[in-house]
Formats: sequence, structure tokens, C-alpha cells
Amino acid sequence: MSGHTTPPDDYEYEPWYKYGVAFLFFEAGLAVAVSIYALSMAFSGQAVQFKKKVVFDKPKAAVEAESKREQQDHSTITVPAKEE
Amino acid sequence: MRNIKTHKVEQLIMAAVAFFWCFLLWFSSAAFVPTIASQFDLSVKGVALLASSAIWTAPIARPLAGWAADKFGAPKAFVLILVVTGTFSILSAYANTLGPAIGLTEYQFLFWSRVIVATAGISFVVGIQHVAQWFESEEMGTAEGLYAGTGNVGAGVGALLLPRIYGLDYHTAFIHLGIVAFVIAAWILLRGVPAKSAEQAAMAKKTATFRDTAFVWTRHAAIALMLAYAMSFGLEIGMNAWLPGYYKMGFEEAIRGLGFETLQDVQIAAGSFAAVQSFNASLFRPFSGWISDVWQRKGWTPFPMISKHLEYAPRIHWLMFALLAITTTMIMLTVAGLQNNLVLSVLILALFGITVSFGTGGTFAIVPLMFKERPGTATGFIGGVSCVGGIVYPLIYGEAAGWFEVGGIHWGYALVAICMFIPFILYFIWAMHWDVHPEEHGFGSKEKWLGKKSA
Repeated sequence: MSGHTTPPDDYEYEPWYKYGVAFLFFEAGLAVAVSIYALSMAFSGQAVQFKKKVVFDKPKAAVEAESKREQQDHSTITVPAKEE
Repeated sequence: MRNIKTHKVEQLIMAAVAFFWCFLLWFSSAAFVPTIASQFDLSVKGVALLASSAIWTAPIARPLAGWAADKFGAPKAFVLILVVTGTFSILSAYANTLGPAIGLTEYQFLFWSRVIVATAGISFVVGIQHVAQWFESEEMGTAEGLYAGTGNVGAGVGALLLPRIYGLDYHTAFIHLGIVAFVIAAWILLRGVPAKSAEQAAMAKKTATFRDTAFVWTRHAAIALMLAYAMSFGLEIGMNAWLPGYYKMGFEEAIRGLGFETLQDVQIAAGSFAAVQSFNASLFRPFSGWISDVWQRKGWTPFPMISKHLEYAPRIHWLMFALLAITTTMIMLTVAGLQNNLVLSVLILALFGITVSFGTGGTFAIVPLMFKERPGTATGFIGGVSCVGGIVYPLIYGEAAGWFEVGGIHWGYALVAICMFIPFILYFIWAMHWDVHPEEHGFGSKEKWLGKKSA
């Protein structure tokens, strides 16, 4: 985004600027942290969860189709209609 | 103009927060794709359609949003976007009752209301215009970087946090997202000021004309930059919408093998992997501008055929490097997928996200320099039409899944890279070979579009 000509060496930035640049570094650090977290998840199989709740009711047709598939293939995902 | 005592940093924070929330709204459906796909029994093509639908309105609405920001001021445009999308976000949570009430199925109502919510993404152009109205050219790079980078990360935050906070309960999530959109709209309504001076706001109103728009839209350089942005930002948003579903479908066995057994667990894992791309593509974006500055200072122009004599030639070469890097990592994603190697796929995805950020930041390091006289029009065109990529790529990924007997879902990345990106790059090279005013070459002469006075 810094598509404008490079400012002269003696250009004096306003006070907010250094905080802005520091925030850019913070954001890059955050991106690296998220990548490391996702990779560690991929290795360990553990994830942080805040809440477990299922509230939707599957449409009847979808439930029937799913149970049919289950009978044919045991590896199909099963989603309970309600779970607390 | 309203007489409010404000500071440009307040306006920057306001724009970044509004754009962040719009981005969160934009891709909040994607975070719940595994749940929605399971609830409504969607096929791979159905998931691809849902993913691409998030971007349908962007190519047309973004140039309009840019015009509206110039005409009425960015704060009003932001408020309108937040109120409309916030309202439909709340309505979409009641699809089971509202759909049948108007003669639609629950899924049809949910699908179309989410298409309207996804128009929140047009706010990018509004914020770019707002920041440009407040900051000096010397600090514009950092200001625009902070705005765009922070705002873009809304998609990653959604993919990472929404499934954790709301589980499978996407209804409540959509309601809460809509309510917060109203709160931000109220803040902007109270504190938003269109420009640092009344003169500047008035100037913005005068610049956009039909002739100038037609001129910019037909320039080879503008089209090449639009394609470059379609390869980077268009790809980023397409992937935001596609990846949670991709990891659920493409690596389900591997994810379950790690111990994520229930649908909710798989959704959380898939969302977290998808967030890697979004976080890197967003948060490294400002650094791409900084690297562009470094190439400019060092005078690096390594690629043949592309101009080496333009004042900003190194920035074009940096973008060329980014485009090659994106194409390479796309092919690597397919390779990792075909090996069913989840760890390698996530690792490459992180790298891929960084290369995408190189492309997004690199493109807008050139646009204001190449189109000095018409930056708003060029931004609307390049930032808007490029979003078509976000619609097309997920559809190709979904189609490709049926073309191959083994690992079809992984092949889409390589197909897009080879059949689309390589021709885009060749066009980019050709459009950037002129050493003098590359922005003036195009379909039809300057005189034809702008009249003899401007020639």
C-alpha cells in the first residue's frame, strides 16, 4: 500500500506514525502466532473451544438421506438433531 | 461539511473498525459452512456455490460504492452498508420462519439473505477513499496499510473464533453480528467526517465522470493490474469462502484421525486451518508495501521484457515476483492435498497467504502512481472487477472435484494456476513493457475517450 514516492530523508512524521508502524509489526506477529497455532493443532489434534451447543433441527429429508448413507457407509458424519 | 472536532487517527480507526466488521459479516457464512452443508445436505457443488455466492455482488457494487463515497462522503456510505447488511444478517437467522412465510424454503431464504449480507465487502473502496481524504501522501502507505490489513483480517477472525464461540449455532452468531453492525453505524453517524477540509470533500465530488471511467477501464495497464489483483485479493476472498469447506471435505479422515470427531470439532479444526491463509494474507499486506519501497530504493528490476526505465519500475517487478510466487504456491497446495498431508497443506497455506499479501500490497503500491490523475476510478475498477475471481475460483474448485477420480477436490488449485494465472501473467508482462506512460495504452486512444482537450 505504500505506493507513494519515498519521502525525503528529512521528512518529519507526525507522532501517530511510529505507533502505526509498531501496530503493523504487532499484526505480523499475530499472523505468525495464528499460523503456529494452526500447525500445532494439525500436529496434536487439540483445539480450544469456548462453547458446545447444537440447536438446529435438520430437515426431515436430510436426516433420512443421511441415515440411508450411514447404512451404506459407516464412515459418514452423523449430526445429532439436538445435543446439550 | 459537519463541524466536528476530530483527528485523522480517529477517522482511520473508525474506517478500519467498520471495514473489519464488514469483512467479518462478509465471510461469517463461510465459518459455518460445515454446519450448513450438513444441515441442508449440500453436495460439493452446493458448498462451492454457497462459497462463491459471498462475492457475487462485489464486482458491480464496488465501483458504485466508490462513486457513492465520492458523491455523498464515506461516512454516509459506511452507515448505509452497515445498516442494510446488519438487518439482513439478523433476518437470515430466522430463515426457518421467514422463508416459508414468503413462499421460499428455509435454505433458499438463508442463501439469498446471506448474498445480501455479503455486500458488506464493498466497503473496502469506501474506506480507501476515506483514508485518502484524511492523510498526507508521505504517510498514506502506512495509513492505507493499517486500514486494509486490519480490516481484511475480519475474515480470519471469523473463521477462527465464530465456530468456537457459537458452536453449531450460526443463528445466534448472525443476530449478534447484525446488532454490532448497528452499533458501529451509530458511531460513524455521530463521529464520521468525510474529509479533512470542505474543499477536499467538494473536489472528490467533481472527479468521477463517465468518460474518465471508460478511459481507465479500457487501459491495458489497468486491466493487467486488475488481473493481478484478481490473482491476489480475488483469490484471497475466494479462498476465505472455500477453505473451511475444503478442509472438512478434503482432509476429513486426517482431521478425524487427529481426534476431532464430532462435526463441531471438525468445523473448528477446518476453520482454524482456513484462518491461516486469511491472517497471513491480511496482516502481511502492509509489509508488501514496505518491501515494494525496498525494491524501489534498491532499483531491483530482475525480470526481462517488463519496463526497467519507468520511475516506479522496481515496484512492477516486485508485483511480478509476487504473481509468480502465488502461482507456485497454488500448485504446491494441490501437491500437498494429493498426498493427503494435512500438516504440509497447512504449512503451504501459510506461505500461500504471505504470497497473496505480496500481490495485494504490491498492486496498490503501483495504482496511485500509475493513475495519479484518476486514483478513485482506478481503485474502483481494479478493486471491484477483480472480485470476479473470488466467484469463479471456488466454482472451478467445485467442478474440478468431479473431473478426477482420485483427489478431485485438490486439483482445482493447480488448474486455476496453470489455465488462468499463467495467461494473466503473460498479459501483465506485455502490458508493462512500455517505458513511457504505460497507463495510456489501451483499447481506443486517449483522444477518443477523453476528447481532444485532454490529449
